Amino acid sequence: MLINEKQLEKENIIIIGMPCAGIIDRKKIYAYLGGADVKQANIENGIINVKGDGFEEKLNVHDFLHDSCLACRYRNPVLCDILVGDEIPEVEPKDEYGKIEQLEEKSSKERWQYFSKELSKCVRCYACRQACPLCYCKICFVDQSFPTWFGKSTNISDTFSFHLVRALHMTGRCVDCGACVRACPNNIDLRMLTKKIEKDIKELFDSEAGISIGENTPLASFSEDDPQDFIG
Amino acid sequence: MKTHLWLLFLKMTLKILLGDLMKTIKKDKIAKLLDFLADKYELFAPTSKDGLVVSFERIKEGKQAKLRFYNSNEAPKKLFFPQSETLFSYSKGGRETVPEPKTEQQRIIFGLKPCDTKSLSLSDKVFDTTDFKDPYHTQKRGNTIIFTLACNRPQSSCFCTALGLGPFLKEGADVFVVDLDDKYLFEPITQRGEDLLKEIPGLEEAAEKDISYAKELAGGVEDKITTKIQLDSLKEKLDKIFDESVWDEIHQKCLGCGVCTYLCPTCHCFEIVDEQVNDKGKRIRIWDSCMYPAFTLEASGHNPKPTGKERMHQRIMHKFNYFVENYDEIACVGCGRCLRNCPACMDITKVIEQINNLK
Repeated sequence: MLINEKQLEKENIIIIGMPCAGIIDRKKIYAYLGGADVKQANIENGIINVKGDGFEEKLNVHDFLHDSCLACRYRNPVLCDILVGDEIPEVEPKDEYGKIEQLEEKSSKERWQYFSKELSKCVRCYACRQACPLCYCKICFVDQSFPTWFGKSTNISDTFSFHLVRALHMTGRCVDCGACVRACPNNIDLRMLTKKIEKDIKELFDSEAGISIGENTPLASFSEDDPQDFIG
Repeated sequence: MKTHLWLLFLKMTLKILLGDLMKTIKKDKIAKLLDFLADKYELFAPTSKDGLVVSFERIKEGKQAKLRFYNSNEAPKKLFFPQSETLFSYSKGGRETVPEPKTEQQRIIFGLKPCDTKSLSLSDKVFDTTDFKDPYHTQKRGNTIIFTLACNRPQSSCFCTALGLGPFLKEGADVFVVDLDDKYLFEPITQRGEDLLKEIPGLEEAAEKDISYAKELAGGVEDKITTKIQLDSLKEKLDKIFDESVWDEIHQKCLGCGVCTYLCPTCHCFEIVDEQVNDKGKRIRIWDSCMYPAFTLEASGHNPKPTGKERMHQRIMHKFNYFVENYDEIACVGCGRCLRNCPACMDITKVIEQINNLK
């Protein structure tokens, strides 16, 4: 994506890639253990051994992967000059849009309630933005002070604005790496916004971000065949 | 010899007096006790926001409180120094009046951990000095009674003992509460704590064995906190390495978000902004973070702290050098929030170790 967006010149970089079978979601482990303090952990043959004061558990790696990893179709690098290790078999994600479809079925009022509750946890530390590989604006719109685009108080409508504008800015660009969710200190599931947008882009433009060099970014290009239903 | 006997006598008298003042309540009655407090005061207690996030919020009913918790995600400093606080409102035209902050209802915070309780006295050093008194902060401090809950569940990321504090530290509390498995022990620390305990119905006199059990617990918990850091000569060391190349390394992992400073109980930097719609406006104080580029951005466009290196330098220096210089204390209570929540796993205890190990 960064090459397509001309942030990097392909000829200036050598990409060293490695296959990835997924990242373990610490928060899922904490939730499973009722918030217990894990002091030691190791992985052996697909089993995570976690230890803490007065407990020891054996957990199946697959049950504790990040949601973004469970939805991943590209466990091997789509582009690299040097591959470290052997390729691993690709896995068809199960129920990739399950949570999104559930949300889509809800009424707009219920969706509003869901996002209000989720986003009320946001402290605007901008960890999601900083961790995002595609947030590279030199000055983020929320940091603009002359003119100010964005209220600085903790008014929920400003928090909404930040997350909605960021999600829209990610449209057709987000590669669903899940870094935003991992970075959030308050456990906000930001993929509920970005994954929904990724789904829409796939349905409307038959496009997926970050798969090949020179691919079209749907919102940065125009085609007469673009869906125009919204025009009415 | 005589003085020694007198001291012993005094100590025993104090013990008897305090012993009498200590109270207990069975755990199944704690919700009722909180109901009583919520009725008379604005009551804040730890509540569960989702399976993992605990936050100090206003509660109306005792059963909303979640008293078995590690610590809240966000520091309870927000109850004294909110992330966003309107200092005053104004409207265009006519004479301007700026009202004094209005007196708020008496508040109680129930269940503050000892580290967070201590952090309040560090904030006081900034907001409540002989020269300057911040009315917004001091007023909230003045009308808030604090029930500190002894920490019997420290996490592996906690390091309060390394700062000379501890999971049973009573400093800053009005009432000190200890979880004794089947009941809570209440010890009044200040006069207003003592007066309040007298008001609460249903409290029982603490038995000698309750008090000795609390002491036993204290020792056991302290041993669980194993992170040690050497702080004795850190300030002097930092003075010497102001321009050293170590700062080029320390910040490398940092993403430049504000998690550490926003969740930190002692970080207190703020910015003041005006928000105006048509002819009505507000002056608002909001949290700011030294980890953000805009923190030091000047009107000319010049930024004296242009990269992560200078910003990390500022954060470490402020906590362990400037604050010590100004107030003779370190601006850290060892709560571990910054290292638990850092998306890049930065560990401030390791940074200190790295600095200490410099020649």
